[in-house]
Amino acid sequence: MKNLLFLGNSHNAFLHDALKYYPNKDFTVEILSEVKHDYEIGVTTSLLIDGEYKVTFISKIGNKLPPYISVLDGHICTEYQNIKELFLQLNMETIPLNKYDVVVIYGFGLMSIDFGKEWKKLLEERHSNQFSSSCLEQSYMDDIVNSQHYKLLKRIELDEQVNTKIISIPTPLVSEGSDTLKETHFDLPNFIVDLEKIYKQEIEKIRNVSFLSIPHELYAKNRYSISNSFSNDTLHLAQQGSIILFNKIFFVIKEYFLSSVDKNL
Amino acid sequence: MHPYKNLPSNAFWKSAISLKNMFSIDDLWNPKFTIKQDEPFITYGSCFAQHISQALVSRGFNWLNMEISPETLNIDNRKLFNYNVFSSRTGNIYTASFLKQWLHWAFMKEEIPQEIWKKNERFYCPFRPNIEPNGFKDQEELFQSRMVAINAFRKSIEETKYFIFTLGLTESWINTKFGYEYPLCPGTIAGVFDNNIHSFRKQRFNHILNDLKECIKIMKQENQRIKFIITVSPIPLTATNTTNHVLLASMESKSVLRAVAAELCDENDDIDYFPSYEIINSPVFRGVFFEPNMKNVSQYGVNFVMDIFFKSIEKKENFAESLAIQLKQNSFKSEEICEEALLELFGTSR
Repeated sequence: MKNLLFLGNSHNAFLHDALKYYPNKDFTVEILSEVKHDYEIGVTTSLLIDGEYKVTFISKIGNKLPPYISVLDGHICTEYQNIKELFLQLNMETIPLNKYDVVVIYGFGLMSIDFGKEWKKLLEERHSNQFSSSCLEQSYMDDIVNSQHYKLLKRIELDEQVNTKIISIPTPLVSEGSDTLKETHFDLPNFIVDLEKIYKQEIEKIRNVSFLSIPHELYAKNRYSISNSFSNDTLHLAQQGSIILFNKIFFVIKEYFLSSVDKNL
Repeated sequence: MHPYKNLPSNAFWKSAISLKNMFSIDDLWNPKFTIKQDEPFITYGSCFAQHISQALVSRGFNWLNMEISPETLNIDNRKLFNYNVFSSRTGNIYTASFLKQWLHWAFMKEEIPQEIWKKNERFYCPFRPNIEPNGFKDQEELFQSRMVAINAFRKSIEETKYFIFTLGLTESWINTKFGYEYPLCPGTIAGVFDNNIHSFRKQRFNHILNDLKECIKIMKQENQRIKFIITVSPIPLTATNTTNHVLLASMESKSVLRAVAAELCDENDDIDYFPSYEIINSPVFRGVFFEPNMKNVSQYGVNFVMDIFFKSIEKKENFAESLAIQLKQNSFKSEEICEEALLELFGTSR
């Protein structure tokens, strides 16, 4: 049995729900235990995927809170009472990271473009011809190192007791501004690809971390053709979109385990 | 009775300096004109001018920044890419002639040289060689960026009320084939030095004075309300290409620049001189404002200079306000006694 932990925000909760409620042909899902399901606090459920992968989801909704989880002595810990209660329902005061073979960090505001206004601003800067490419590139790097997502990864890296494999996934690059953006910025898909390269490069400087991009068919350019991939708020991946994403994650994780076996042999 | 009889105490070395703790020396600058915090300022010039812009911002003065960085660029990298350093991304303008060159590009539609420098497959602008930490990706990006800077520079001059310029150097490097000036010797940061076309020029008093006069003329044609505050950088030369010792070259250079500033200020009511050079360099202050290398000015020194700058402005503004109030009050009493009242006011202020 492989132990996987998906740690994230509301995007993670949507992913969890999709797996739980949306039947799909690619893998089997069995609910092992459900500790709590509350969008105000979080979602913690263990699912058994393909009878072999035990997946635990911990989702804390809302990016705009101050750092609510930290990493200390190899454990995820918190000072927030409601999250403490969540952990206690898992019979743990803190979550030991090394217990998991792979930890997936999904969400937590990896990019400022998670939010519509900033996304639009970045596009305007890119098309203004006011800035050199290296200056813009540096500004994206500065953006990412300021994000909660990156800071959490750095905290894990600095905790020398953590040896587990970490996968970092950005949130989908969609926003409430996308309708307008689609009309005015035909360069959007190229921009996303450029950005991802930079973010991947920054993220993968962190020990044990691999960056996994959102499948490109889910990006703003294409999302209208598969609009049921997104929830009504247009920010989160709905069931179909979540399954497309999970398929990719699952593929990468299986590859990881296969390559680990190869190395051991 | 002789002219020295009624001079103020700051006219005498003993009362102004000898009897005072050096940190209590005051009245070093009496601004010629009232300076308002909310009216726009722009800053250009040598390295020391950067401190002036930062101080203006931190004191809530209306410093015009015509080239805003990308929003997510952090503070350190903004500086690295030369944002928030001067009012537009000109880089250092060390000489009056180089300022003139920028003004000609901005206002006289003078053709901008197409010369570029290449290093490690990156492209560097000969006129802003250090503006990007690793140069530009190609020629097109370099020219585009320079046009953005020129437009921002022009706009800053059109919109400002106060132009603060710090004179830095008298030594310059010229392209003799086309007659333009570089801010740095070709080959130092990038480019290749060519003895046949790159020529050293030590600028003389009249040359600098005439260039500055032309600069002021161009700016006043474009913006009639503009006023000038000239300073001389207190930072000594890093190196000299004259045959003199760098200490001598530095002193000579600063002395010439200081004399030019004095000449201009004496002749023009809308040009003032702020004595940052004297505050840092005068033996009265015993070099305490320098870092151990005796070149860089410490943060303490910068703060000391800028405190004097702002206190003097405030003092002048308060004086002008009290003068205006008194004139207003007196005008209600009687038109005839205005002049007398004014004289009385000057008497009390001293």
